[in-house]
Amino acid sequence: MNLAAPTALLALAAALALPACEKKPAPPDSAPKAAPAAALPGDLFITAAPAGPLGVKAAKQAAGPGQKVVMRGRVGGSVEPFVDGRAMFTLMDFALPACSDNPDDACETPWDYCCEKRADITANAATIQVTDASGAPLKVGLKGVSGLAPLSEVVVVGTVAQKDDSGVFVVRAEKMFVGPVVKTAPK
Amino acid sequence: MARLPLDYAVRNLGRSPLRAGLSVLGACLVVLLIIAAAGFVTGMSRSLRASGDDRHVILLGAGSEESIERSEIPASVGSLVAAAVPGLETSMGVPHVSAEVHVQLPVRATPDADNPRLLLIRGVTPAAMLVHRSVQITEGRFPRAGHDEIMLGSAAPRQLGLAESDLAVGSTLWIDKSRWTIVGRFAAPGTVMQAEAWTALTDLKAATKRETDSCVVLALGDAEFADIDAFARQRLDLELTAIPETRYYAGLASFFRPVQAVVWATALLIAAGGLLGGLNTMYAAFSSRVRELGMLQCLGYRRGAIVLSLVQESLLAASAGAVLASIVGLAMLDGLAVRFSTGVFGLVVDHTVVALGLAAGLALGLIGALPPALRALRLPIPESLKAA
Repeated sequence: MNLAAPTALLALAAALALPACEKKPAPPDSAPKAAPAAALPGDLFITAAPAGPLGVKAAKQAAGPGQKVVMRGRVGGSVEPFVDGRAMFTLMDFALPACSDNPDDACETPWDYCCEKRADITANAATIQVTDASGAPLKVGLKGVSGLAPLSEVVVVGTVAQKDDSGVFVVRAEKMFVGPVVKTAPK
Repeated sequence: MARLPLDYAVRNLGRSPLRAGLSVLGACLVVLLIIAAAGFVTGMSRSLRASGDDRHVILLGAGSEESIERSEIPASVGSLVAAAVPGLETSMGVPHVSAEVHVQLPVRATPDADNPRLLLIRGVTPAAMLVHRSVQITEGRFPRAGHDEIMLGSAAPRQLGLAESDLAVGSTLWIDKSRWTIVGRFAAPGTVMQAEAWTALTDLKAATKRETDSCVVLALGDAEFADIDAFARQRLDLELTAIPETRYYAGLASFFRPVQAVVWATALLIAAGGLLGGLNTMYAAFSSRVRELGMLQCLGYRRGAIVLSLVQESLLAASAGAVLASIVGLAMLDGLAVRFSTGVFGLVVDHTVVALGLAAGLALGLIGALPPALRALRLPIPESLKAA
């Protein structure tokens, strides 16, 4: 029985398919590596709202770098106002209406203020950071911590770290109160 | 169960060399088509994957996350991010931050040439060579600013449909209505950049009358993506979005997934047509051998053994076709440049694609033989022996 032809055929097929056993190179990671998370200060979140907070816009006008500031606003300014892996978010002045303040607006992300001009958003925004001793934001996200979410009302007590003509206003938060500020009725 | 020897199947193939040849050719064409489709999908995916580096971050305009070409950001972003974010990769104190303009423009070999082709022109500074390390200048030099000079990627001639000799260093090209001198050639193997032309950032801005950049590509050192993301969110005035380069190209790959699906569907439909043609051929081939099959049963071979022998015949023809297709695929299709909207990429005929083609050939042989073989053996033995 002459099996030379089929044997040669099968051998050729095997030779073509065998390189499938080659070791594949490891695929590159799809996302850059992140450092281990750092813990937030235990006394960062307070249960009573500090007295006399300014609006974000007023605080930007009143305080300069190194000065203490107490200001109140709500989380927003972009579709994702929190930074993953960094203790940082954007706070907006109540004077600037979010999309949800318009009952006719069906925007699914009303905290991005997409109905407002970019210049107005910048003028009414402040960046809040929780930093380490070197002044760098802690490597931990704030989203969901102590109820922090887009459009959450927040009162921040902190120090102005950066302010410039482009509208950048960065505050290093020392205390934060999350929730609506209840105004006591005059006696 | 007594089996028919394999030699019987092999010899039967030789009874009608024309039919055997056509079976082999049919299987070869179907498998070649499957190899081409798989090579196309693999090549496109690999090209987009290789174009992204997991240590690179792209800063582009908010809302333009799906297309760098649509993006516009202030020209100051590159220097601002380099100053604001510590931990970017540096060489001799120079941060690996590349401000770039990406724009597709019509390119002609001569000013009066018809049908100019679109080529992606990337306006860059020398820092681009620090960031895009897969780019290597193979001939000539980097374009100087203010001289309307360009450097062409290795696949750019294919993209433009021009001969290599037309695009030699020192020759000229007409981009839009301006004359540009080719001063260099570069390679960026496996990436979309190889089908681009690079020029000085300022020259391209002047040519396109724009003041903004398209994006800034930067390489992370100790810094992390979150640091760049934090910069983008802090600078609301700049309207930036930070995106890892790998995620950008993965997004492009998923955008083109429907195209890949259409390629697969077309290949499978044609393969199904080939399979039906093969079935038809096998029905005719086996039905003309009904008397022979009846005689084999008289000699004591069971139907299962005869089916096995017929399937062996078909498998031999199909696998010969598959092997032939694999050889042709490896020799002629592997690396074949294909023009696409992302640029030019090469078909990839690797071991996985070849294995897929061989498996398809075997499936073709098996599925193409079983129904005709079973049908041919359906007749009772006396009727088979009396068949014409």
